[in-house]
Amino acid sequence: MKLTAHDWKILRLPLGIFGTVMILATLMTGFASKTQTEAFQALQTQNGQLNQARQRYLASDAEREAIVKYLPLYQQLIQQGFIGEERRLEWIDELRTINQQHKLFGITYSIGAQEAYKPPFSVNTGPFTLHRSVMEIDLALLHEYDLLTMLNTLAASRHAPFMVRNCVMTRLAGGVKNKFVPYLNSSCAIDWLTISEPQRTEVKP
Amino acid sequence: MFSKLILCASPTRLIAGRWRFGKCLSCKVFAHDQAGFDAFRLYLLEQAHTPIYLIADAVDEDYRIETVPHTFGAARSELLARKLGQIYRNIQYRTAQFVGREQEKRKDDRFLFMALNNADCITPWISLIEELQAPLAGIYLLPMVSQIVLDRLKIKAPDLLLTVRQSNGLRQTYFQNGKLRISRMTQLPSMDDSKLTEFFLNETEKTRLYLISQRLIGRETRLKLLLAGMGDGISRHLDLERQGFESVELGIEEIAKRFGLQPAALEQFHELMHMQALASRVPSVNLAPTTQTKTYFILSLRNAINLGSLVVLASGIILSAYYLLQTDDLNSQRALAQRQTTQQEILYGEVAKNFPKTTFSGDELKTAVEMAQKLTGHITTPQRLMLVVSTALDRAPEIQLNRLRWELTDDIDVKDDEKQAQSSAKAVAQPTAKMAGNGSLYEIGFVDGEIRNFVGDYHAAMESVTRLVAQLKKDKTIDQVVVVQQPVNTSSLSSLQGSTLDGQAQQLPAALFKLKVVLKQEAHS
Repeated sequence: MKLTAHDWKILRLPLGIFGTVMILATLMTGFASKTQTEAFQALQTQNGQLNQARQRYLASDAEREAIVKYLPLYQQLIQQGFIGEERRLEWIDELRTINQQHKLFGITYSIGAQEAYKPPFSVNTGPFTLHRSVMEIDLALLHEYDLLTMLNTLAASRHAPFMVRNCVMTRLAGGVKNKFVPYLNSSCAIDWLTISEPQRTEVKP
Repeated sequence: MFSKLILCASPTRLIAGRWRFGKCLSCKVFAHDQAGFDAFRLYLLEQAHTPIYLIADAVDEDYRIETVPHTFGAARSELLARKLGQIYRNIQYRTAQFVGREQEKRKDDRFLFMALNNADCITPWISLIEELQAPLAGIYLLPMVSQIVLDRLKIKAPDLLLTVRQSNGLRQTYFQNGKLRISRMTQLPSMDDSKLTEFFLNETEKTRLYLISQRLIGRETRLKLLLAGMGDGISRHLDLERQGFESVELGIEEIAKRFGLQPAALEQFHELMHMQALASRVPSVNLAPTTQTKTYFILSLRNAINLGSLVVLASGIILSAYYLLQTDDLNSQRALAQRQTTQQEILYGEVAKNFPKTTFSGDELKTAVEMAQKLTGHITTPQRLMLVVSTALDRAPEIQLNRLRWELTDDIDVKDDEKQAQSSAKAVAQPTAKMAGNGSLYEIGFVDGEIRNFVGDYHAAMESVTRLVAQLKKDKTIDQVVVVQQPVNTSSLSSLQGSTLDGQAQQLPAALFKLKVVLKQEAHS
């Protein structure tokens, strides 16, 4: 059965109404569904917060213990310069002190710009951001163990932790053993590591 | 939308009734003349958009059973259309009703083919309907509706003859196992009731003989007569039992009661029983060609679309209401959870009053401290390498160490490239899969040396290097030692130059060599 133009004219209005109703119903249902989904998600979030609050309350004893245990250590790290701003002046001063104490032939250094750092081994950084600054050190040595002395003294100085990346020791041309003149030249690359705290305004009790 | 116009057309008149929800609201009669047609036109105009169902109560009808191969869907429609064209070539009003399937052989489909041979009794009415574009739903032969009547009366018999007195004659319809087979209409001559019974008896006998001749029943078959509106006591009067019939009588009162009609109206219009049956249920097929039912089809389509709109709107409203109710419930639950959270926070606040002041939680403090400890654990110096090399060189006085490079790296394949060595310190170390499973880095050393007082004895020089390598390998802290450069390159893949006079001329090149030493890893937590 073929429909003529006259037939379509009869069906035009019902079809128009049907289309309008479909759009209206879809919009109405879509809006209601979206509202319901948002309400559900808000409830989920709120339940999550409630669980956290419950857990926090239940774990308040452990929390207190952790704060009491780790806060002094944390503050110690701040004092050492591991947490917060880099203390480049202190590092340089330490190098100067080492040079004087161990009667070295002078230490040449250069420190690169600080950059974000992800170590090649797994480490949980939590909300903190790990940074490094690469320091290149050149020093002349009377004995190869002077290099170890310098590095060990630097490590023992309780500044920020660092990682020695590489060291090269080269025999100086014409260098003579058992004379008080540099016999070797050495250069090392060191990563000075620091972490920065996340921005927090609220002080937790 | 819920009204129906039921028409019953006979050669002399048209009875038109308006039904709503299965109830007859009004009934009118139009004579088969110009005045009747004009009146019907006005009547139709009053009933615009009401679907029309037309019953044709005519003498010239045809019924025949035909078998066709079993098909369904479009193939069946096509087959039946062709068959109808063959049987009723020039007849406009025709149809086929499925009866059943053959029990044997191909199990063909059996159809009852029906046609209105002479459509004069309905043509003027149909013309008016078409002219006014009134929605004609279908045209039915009266016996087609009789089947609905029989179903409604719930009277069953293998061979049943329904006898009905119509306003224009006597109609006898034969049903085999409840299925319509044949029907005949006889004009009623003007006569008194006493002669009417004899007339009825004669006609019944004729019908029986016809059924026997058509092999629809046997001579011994006991027909069940259903006498509807034939007058009380007719079977007793004619002693039908003795005539070999089983009979059931339904008087006007009984029919009116069963069909919900007024007895007076039924007395006046015998056709009302069939009209009422058609108002309650419509046969599956009808005689009208699709061109005549197109208006009804469009109207039905429009109604269906409107109904669809209503359903969609209602569904939308119900679904939206359901979602909104759920939203309200969820919001209530959230408000409760919010209150409980605040309560928990107050409780925690009370407990935490005595905590040391800090911007970080205990876990965060722990993370920072452990991170510092882990990083400190990775502080390594070249001490191990220097110790290993020094020990080995103590046993090889003929070897002079020129350069020692130590590297802490995650790349075991690192090469001793001077430029790379300088830039590697500046490059950000990338975590790679090459790193050892225990989380530590490789300590790799490059040893550059030469043979002291070399006089051109390359064999001895290579022997010294080999001994040094062997000595290094003895150390338990060494994982592997690789000779990167021999004092002399004897490889067939490179060129080798020198002079046997070199030793005498004191122009010997130094016997330089290079080793790569990989230390065993130290475990870190």
